[in-house]
Amino acid sequence: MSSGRVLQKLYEQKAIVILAIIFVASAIWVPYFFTWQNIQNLMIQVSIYGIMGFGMTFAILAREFDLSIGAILAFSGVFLAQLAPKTGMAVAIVIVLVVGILIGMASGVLVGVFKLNSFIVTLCAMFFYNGLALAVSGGSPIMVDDAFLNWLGNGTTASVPNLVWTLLILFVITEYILRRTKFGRNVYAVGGDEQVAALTGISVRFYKVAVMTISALSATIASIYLTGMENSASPVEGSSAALFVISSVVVGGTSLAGGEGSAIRTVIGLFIFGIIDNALSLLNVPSFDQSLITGIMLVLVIGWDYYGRRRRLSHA
Amino acid sequence: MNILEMRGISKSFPGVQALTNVDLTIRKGEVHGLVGANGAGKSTLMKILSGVIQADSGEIHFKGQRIRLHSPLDAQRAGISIIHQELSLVPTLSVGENIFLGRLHGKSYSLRWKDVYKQSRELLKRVGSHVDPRTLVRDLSVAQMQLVEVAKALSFNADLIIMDEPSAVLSGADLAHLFNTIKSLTQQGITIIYISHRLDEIFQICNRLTIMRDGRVVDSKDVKDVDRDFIIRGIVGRDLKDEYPPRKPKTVGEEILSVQSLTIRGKVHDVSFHVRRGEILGLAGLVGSGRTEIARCIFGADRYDGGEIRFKGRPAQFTNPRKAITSGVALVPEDRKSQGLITKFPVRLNLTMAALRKISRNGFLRPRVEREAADSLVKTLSIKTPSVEQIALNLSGGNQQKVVVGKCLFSDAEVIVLDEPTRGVDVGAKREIYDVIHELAGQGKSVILISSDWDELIALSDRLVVLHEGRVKGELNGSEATPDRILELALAHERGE
Ligand SMILES: Nc1ncnc2c1ncn2[C@@H]1O[C@H](COP(=O)(O)OP(=O)(O)OP(=O)(O)O)[C@@H](O)[C@H]1O
Ligand SMILES: [Mg+2]
Repeated sequence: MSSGRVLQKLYEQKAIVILAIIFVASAIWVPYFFTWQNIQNLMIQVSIYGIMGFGMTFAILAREFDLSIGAILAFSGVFLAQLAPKTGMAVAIVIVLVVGILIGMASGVLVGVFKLNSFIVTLCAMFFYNGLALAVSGGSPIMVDDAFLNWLGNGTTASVPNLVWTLLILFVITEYILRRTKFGRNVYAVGGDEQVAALTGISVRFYKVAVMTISALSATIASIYLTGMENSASPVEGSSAALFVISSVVVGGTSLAGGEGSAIRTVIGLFIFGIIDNALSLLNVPSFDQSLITGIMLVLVIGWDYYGRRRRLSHA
Repeated sequence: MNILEMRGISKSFPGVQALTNVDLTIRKGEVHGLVGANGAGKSTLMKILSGVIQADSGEIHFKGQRIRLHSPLDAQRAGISIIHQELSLVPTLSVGENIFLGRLHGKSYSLRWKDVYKQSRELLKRVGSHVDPRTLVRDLSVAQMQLVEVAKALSFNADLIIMDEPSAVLSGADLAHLFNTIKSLTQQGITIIYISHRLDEIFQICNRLTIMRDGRVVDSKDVKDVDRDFIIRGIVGRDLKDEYPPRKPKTVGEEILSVQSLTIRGKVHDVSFHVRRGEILGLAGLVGSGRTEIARCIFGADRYDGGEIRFKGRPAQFTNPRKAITSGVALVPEDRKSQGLITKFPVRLNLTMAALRKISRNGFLRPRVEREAADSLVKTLSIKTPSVEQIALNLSGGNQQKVVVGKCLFSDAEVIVLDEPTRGVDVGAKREIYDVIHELAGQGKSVILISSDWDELIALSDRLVVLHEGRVKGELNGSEATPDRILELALAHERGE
C-alpha cells in the first residue's frame, strides 16, 4: 500500500483517527489517564458494554436494531440471583443462558417471520423485561455471594482482568465469524439488501432470527459478568445500555443501513466513548456536563463520518 | 451549427482512467448516437455533461458559451437534461410528483397540485403517453416509466436531452413508440444524445454517431457513411466475425422441467411448456406477456394461483428461491440493481454469494479459493474492473450485468433461467455470454431464455414459446423463427383467429 492509499483509508475510517486523537490528547492532558491502573479500569469499564456491543454488531449488520439489551441485562441478572440459591450457580448460569436465547428468539421470530419492525418489537421487549425484572426481584437489588461469579467479574488471569480476556476472546470470535464463515457472510448479505439476498437463496428469516438471538444472548452473558463484578444484581441496571451500545457501534462506523461494519469498528466506537467518559471523570467534570459533552462529541463524530460517506457516494 | 462542444475531457476514479482527452461535438437538432464497449466511458461522459460529476480537466461549450457545471441544477438551468441508465423514479410517488420532484412548491411554499398535474399531463402528451399523472409509478410498465423519464427531462425546458440506454428493456411496439417520441422531440428543436448497445437502433434514428473505446473517442461519423461492421470494429477494437455463435445440430436429452397450466391471476393464464436437458428454450413476447412472472414462479420467488411446475419428473416444491437453488435452478433476475446485486458490496462478494458452499468447508470460508473463483469469473466474462474488490456500484452498467450473470453461473445450476441476461451489455461481451450459454447447454444443462432482443432470442434458442398477454400463442423451432413470425403468432387472436 502506498502512503497515499494509507491516507485515503484513514480518511475513510475516521473513527480510528478520532480514537487516536482522543487517546493521545487524554494521555497528554489528563492526569493519571496514562497509567496501567487507569487503562485497566478503562478496559473493565467498556467490557460489559463491549460484550453487548458484539451482539449488537450482528443485529445492526443485518439491518436490525435491539433496544431491549439493557432490560435483558437487568432481568437476566436478577433472575440469576434468584435462581442460584435454589439450583446452584452452574445450573443457574445454564438456565439463564438458555432463557436468554429464548428471549432473543422470541423477538427474532416477531422480526424475521412476522416482519415486524425491530425498533418497535425491542422497544416493547424493553418495557416487558424491565417489568419482569422488577417483578422477579421485588424491586430491590439482590446480593449474590458466589466465589466463581466474583472471580469472573473481578479476578484476573495472568494479571489481566478476566473481563478483559472475555472481551478479547469474544472480539476474536465475532470478527472471525463475520469475516470467515458462511454465517457471517450471509448476515452481511441480508443486511446489505434483503431482496437480493432472498433471491440468492439466503434464508432472510433464519438470519434475522439468528441476529436477534445473538444480541439477546450477548446481553445475558454480560449480565453474568456484571453480577459477578458487583456481587449483586439490580432490576434497574442498564437503563442506558442500549443507547450507549448502539451509539458505540455506529460511531465505530458500522452502518445503520446494514451490511457494512465489523467487530473491530465496534471496539473502536466503544473506546471512543469509554475514553471520553473516563477522561471526563478523571477531570472531575460533573456528570450532567459529561453527558452534555458526550452528546456534542457524538454529533461531531457521526456528522463528520456521514459527511465523508456522502462525499464518497456522491461521486459514484 | 454546433449546440455542444466538449473539449479535452478527462476523468479518473481511483484505479481507473475513465476518460482521456475526449472531444465530442453535437449539432443542433440531431439525434447523436453514442456507442462503445462496456466501461468505455459513455455514462461517465454524460454524467459530466449533466453536472452529476465533475471532469478533472476539459471544457464544455454549450450554445456558444463556455459553461461550468458544478451540479445537476447547473446543467438543468443551462438546458441539459439526462435520463440515466438506471431508472431513477420514486416508485411510491405519483407520475406527476416524480416529474416535478424537488420542485414541488410554488412561491408560497405550498403545493399547487392542480398545476403539477396539469403541467404533467401536457408534458406526457408531448411524449405521446396517456398515463394519468396521478398513477403511482410502481403501477407502470417499464416502457411507461421510460416515457415518464422523458417527460421529466422535458419539464426542465431542455434543449439537449441525454438518453443513456433508454431502450435496454423495450421491444416491438414500445420501442417504436419511443422512437416516435424522439422524432417528435427533434421536430420541436430538441437535440438528443442517444446511448445504446443495439446497433440497429443507431441506424434507425441517429443522424450521426460517436464511437468510444477505453475512455477515448475512436471516431465521429455521419450514420449514412458507416455500416454495422465498421461500428462493431470501432467498439470492440477488432473484427467480430459473427455476432452469434453458429447453430450446431445437437441432441437434447430428457425433459427436466415442465410448467403445466400455470396461472397467475390477472397475469398468466394456463401456460404450459417444458424444457429438456441440453436445450435452450426461448420465451418470446412483448413486455407484459408474463415472461418475467413465469420465470419468477419457476424460481420460487413468487406464488402462483394454479397449475404445477414439475422438476425431474416430480412436483417442484419451490416455495422460495432457496429451495429452487438447492435443487439446481438458478435465475438471472430482470433488474440487476434491485434484484441481482448488492451494489455496495465488492464484486467478489456478489459473484460468490449464491454458492458459498463452493468456497467454504464446514461453514468456514476459504479466502484464497474465493478469490480465485472470483478472478476466474471476471476473466471468463471479461468484466471490466480494477479488481474483484471494487464496489459493484462503481462498475459500468454493462459490467454490473455481467457480474449478475457470473453470480448465476457460479451456482452450477442444472436449469438456468435468464431474464434479459444481456441487458446493457456491449456486442463483444454479448458474444461471450452467448458462448457461455452454448457451453452450458453443451454440458447438458437447460437454459430458459427471456429477451426483448428478438434477434438474440432467435439466434440462441432451439425452441421458442411465444407468449402474449399471459397466454401461450404458439411454438416455433429456432431455425424457422423470425421476428415477423413471432409477432404474427403473438398477435394472432387480435385479428380474431
Ligand atoms: N464512481 C466510480 N468509481 C470508480 N470507477 C468508476 C466509477 N464510475 C465509473 N467508473 C469506471 O469508469 C469506467 C467507465 O464507466 P462508464 O459507466 O462511463 O461506462 P459506460 O461506457 O457507460 O459502460 P456501459 O455500456 O457498461 O454502461 C468503467 O471502467 C467504470 O468501472
Ligand atoms: Mg453506461
